[in-house]
Amino acid sequence: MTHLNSNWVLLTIFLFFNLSFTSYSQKNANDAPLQKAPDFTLKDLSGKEVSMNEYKEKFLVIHIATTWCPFCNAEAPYLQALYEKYQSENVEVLIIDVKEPESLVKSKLQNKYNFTFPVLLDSDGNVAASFAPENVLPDLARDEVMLASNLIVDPEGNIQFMSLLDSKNFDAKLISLQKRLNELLQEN
Amino acid sequence: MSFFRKTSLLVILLVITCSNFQDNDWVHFQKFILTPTENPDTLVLYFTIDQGFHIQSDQPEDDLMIPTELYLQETNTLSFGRPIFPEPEYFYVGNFKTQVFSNELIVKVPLIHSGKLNQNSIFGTIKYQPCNSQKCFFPRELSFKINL
Repeated sequence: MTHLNSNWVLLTIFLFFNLSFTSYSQKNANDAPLQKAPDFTLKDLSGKEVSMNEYKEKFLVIHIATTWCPFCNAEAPYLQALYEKYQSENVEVLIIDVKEPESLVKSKLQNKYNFTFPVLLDSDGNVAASFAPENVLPDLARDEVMLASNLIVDPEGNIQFMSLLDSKNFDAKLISLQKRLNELLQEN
Repeated sequence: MSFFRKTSLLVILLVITCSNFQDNDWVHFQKFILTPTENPDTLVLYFTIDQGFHIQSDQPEDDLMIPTELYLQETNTLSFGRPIFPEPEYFYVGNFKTQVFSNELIVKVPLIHSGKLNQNSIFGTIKYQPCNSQKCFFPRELSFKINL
């Protein structure tokens, strides 16, 4: 192979690799297929076990949070407002707090925002991790990927919205989520 | 196309390729300065924070936030005063306001030693909680070594 040809081969390989990588990342960010929400059972702040099965035939909004996450704190009042607004329309709301002790979550999250929906404790992060789409942010720990994410699970248990994939900008007022929720409620 | 042009293009493509891969540590130790040069009494540490990311300040107004903390390993002959962090900037998350550091972080640390500074190295750790414009990440630690 001549020197000239080898340079062109290298160039082609680099271009192919970069275009493939970009297209792969975009595909995973925007076109993730509809997936089933994983089953889980977690304790709430009163020690009561709450499982995904209890939300069959309901729309469920899940927010994955930590007390120190500014995005989660910014959303918190809007999440409570959303619950109050949609409560009568077969919509439930849950917060899954990741890897924090009960006392901290009670004092810094529950007592501050007075949620009237359950706050669940995912003490080892396994449940949060189980929601993380494969290949999205592959270099991060799976439970970390989901921090500050919002999801809508439909009555059949399908994930119909994930802010990680559906929102390009931070959306404290949950506008994108509410838009999707309204669509789903109308379709139903 | 000349050989020089082709090689330059290959180098550019290689850089683009490498930049596609992200690491999980968004704070990096760059350098240090001892000041003044003779009988130094201050250690100045320079860190960089990756573009698009920020870390919580050392004294966040809201006690929910995890502050940035710097630790330096003391010895029998060298100890350190309280690190002096720069003024933070405000970052707004909806109606929620946080104080953060971004881009370059310069921390000044008073040195406490008697006589001449006769140490070869200092080991340090910076603990920080990073976020970007869309989400936050678990707190991280960066360990570094200063060769005096």
